[in-house]
Amino acid sequence: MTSTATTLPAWTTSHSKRDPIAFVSRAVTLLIAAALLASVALLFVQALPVISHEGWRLVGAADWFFRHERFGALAMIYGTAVVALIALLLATPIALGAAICTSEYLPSKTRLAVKAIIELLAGIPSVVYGLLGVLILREWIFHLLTPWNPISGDTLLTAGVLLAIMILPTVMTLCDDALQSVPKRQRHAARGLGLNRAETILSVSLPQAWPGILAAALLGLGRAIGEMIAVFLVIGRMDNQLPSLTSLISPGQTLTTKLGGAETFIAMGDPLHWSAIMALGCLLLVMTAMAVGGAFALRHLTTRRCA
Amino acid sequence: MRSKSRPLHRSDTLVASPAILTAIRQLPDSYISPTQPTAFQVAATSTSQSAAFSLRQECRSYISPTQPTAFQVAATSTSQSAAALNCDPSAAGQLHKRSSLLRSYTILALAILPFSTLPAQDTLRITGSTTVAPVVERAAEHLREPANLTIYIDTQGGSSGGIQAIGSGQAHIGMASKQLTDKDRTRFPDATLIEHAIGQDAVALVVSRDVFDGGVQSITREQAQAIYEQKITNWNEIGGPDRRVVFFNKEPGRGTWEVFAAWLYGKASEAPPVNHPEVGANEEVRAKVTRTPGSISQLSASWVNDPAFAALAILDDAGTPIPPTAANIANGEYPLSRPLYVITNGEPTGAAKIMVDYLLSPQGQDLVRAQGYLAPDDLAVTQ
Repeated sequence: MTSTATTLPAWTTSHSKRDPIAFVSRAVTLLIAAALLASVALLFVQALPVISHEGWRLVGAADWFFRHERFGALAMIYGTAVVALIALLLATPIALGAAICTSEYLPSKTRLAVKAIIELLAGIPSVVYGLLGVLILREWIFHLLTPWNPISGDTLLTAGVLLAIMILPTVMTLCDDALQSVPKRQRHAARGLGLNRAETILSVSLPQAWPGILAAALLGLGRAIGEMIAVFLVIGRMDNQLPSLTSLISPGQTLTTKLGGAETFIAMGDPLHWSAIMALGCLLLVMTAMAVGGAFALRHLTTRRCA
Repeated sequence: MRSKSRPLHRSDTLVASPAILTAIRQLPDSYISPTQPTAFQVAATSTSQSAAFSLRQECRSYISPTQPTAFQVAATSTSQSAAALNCDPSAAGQLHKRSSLLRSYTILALAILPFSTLPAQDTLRITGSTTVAPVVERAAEHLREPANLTIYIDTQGGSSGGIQAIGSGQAHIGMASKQLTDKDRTRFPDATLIEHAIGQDAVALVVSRDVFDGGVQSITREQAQAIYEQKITNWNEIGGPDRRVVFFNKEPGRGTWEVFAAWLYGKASEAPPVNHPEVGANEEVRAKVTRTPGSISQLSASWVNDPAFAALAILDDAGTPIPPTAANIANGEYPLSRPLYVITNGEPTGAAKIMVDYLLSPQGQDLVRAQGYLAPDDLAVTQ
């Protein structure tokens, strides 16, 4: 609310006392904030029974057998983290390369056209990516992995690669924004000092834009962590797989695929099981909040530097 | 008034009032489902002008016709204020004055909409088996509006919970995927429990073609148990090809899994904790078993009609292989099978009669088939 008020131009603030739009928008904003807080609180309160039932085993053990009332979610936390990290490691270098091309080499009209196309990619519903993953990616990975005798093409690796493709446009367009926010004058100054284009990018643009690039990567991470349906289709949904030599090429489970699966419906009749599902929601919220919070902190850092 | 405004240019982007932009930027977290963050998140989090410019269009694309949410509010207000600012100042002022009141009412109306409900004439409480529940839930979707019924369905306690509820008068209809026993009837002497068979559920064990052609064409209960518990890990242990066993386990809650587990362990709750890759819908089972060499899974028998995979026969104690044909299911020879019932106390009346009649009607029977079960008619034809 306070940030809203401070950024309002004079013509709105002067009338805000009797402006119904200002009133309604503020009320709605407040409502949204309250709803967010309330749902987080609700989630946590509902998760309390399983926290007292499992204690640290909830995040420290990998045995999730709801019929035996055992709820150790470690394997799902691992699955979520490793899938998102694979996605990030694959997507960020490519996205950064593309962003350097659009931001530093392309003329501005071409840049906008390329960006528009890439942003369109980000608008493709994730279930479509998931289906492409089922049709093409899992078969391809299955063939690729045949020497290691995988269970099937549904592996943590498949999910990671699919997510990498999905977050690529997001990361790319945000990297491009970060590079664009480096003032033109500094590039000109660098060129004036005799640096060529590549040197300008390496010694002026990238060093200035790095917090923004990191923020882009973290936002991509946030998206990767929260993604459900595409991962659901190619991850195999095998519980309790901890890190091992072959775990990347075995089926696994993430927090989102568990939440999106059949168990959520089964859990409704059973308070403890339901509470465990809510706890998974809490864990997911914490992981996403960490990624997105990091991104915002970093972007704050960039904007302050550039200002 | 809109006609006066010139088309938007990229440079107009930031004239959309910051308060609205801020409000929109805060929306995605609560309004966008985890399955669709995509472009909106990009636009809302991006600081660039181009992204902010596309925000308006993206708002529109996210409005669903069935869910008029705050998005719609935000989107209309953004575009209108942007349009207003593009008009000449006097016209903008008028638009602002006229529409602001209207918009406040719209917002209020949208806020109130979800809380208003129609008065219900009749309430129907249905409880019991998770196997039968999907069919009844679909039927309820078809009946709620036209018949103006309030229907509550829950699966507390499964089949036995359903029988208990109907016997003790806590529900109008019970759902069960097992036959009523004499014990059930004597428990409730005051009730006259009537079973209405709405279908038959049978589970086939399907294997990929290479396993079937490699020599495994039938299986005993003990072998199935050993495979489920990961004691048999290669098909050559039971006379098949030298290939790793890949067990795609039906996800929990599926009737198919319940039948399978009940066959192996007597009760589904007795099944030991094991980890297998999980599969959901029958389509998924079919696709994965077809494409994964060495795989086995549980599949509703009505889906076994594809030469790309094969159903195993079950070897009975005498060593006779019993394939999951409709005839074997109908005469009870095939072990992984059970009837699906809805149960009423006495002949159904009122809302319960509407539901039972619907389930037994051709439309209701199609719902039974859509769920992958056999309808009683199908059994009669094959017998």
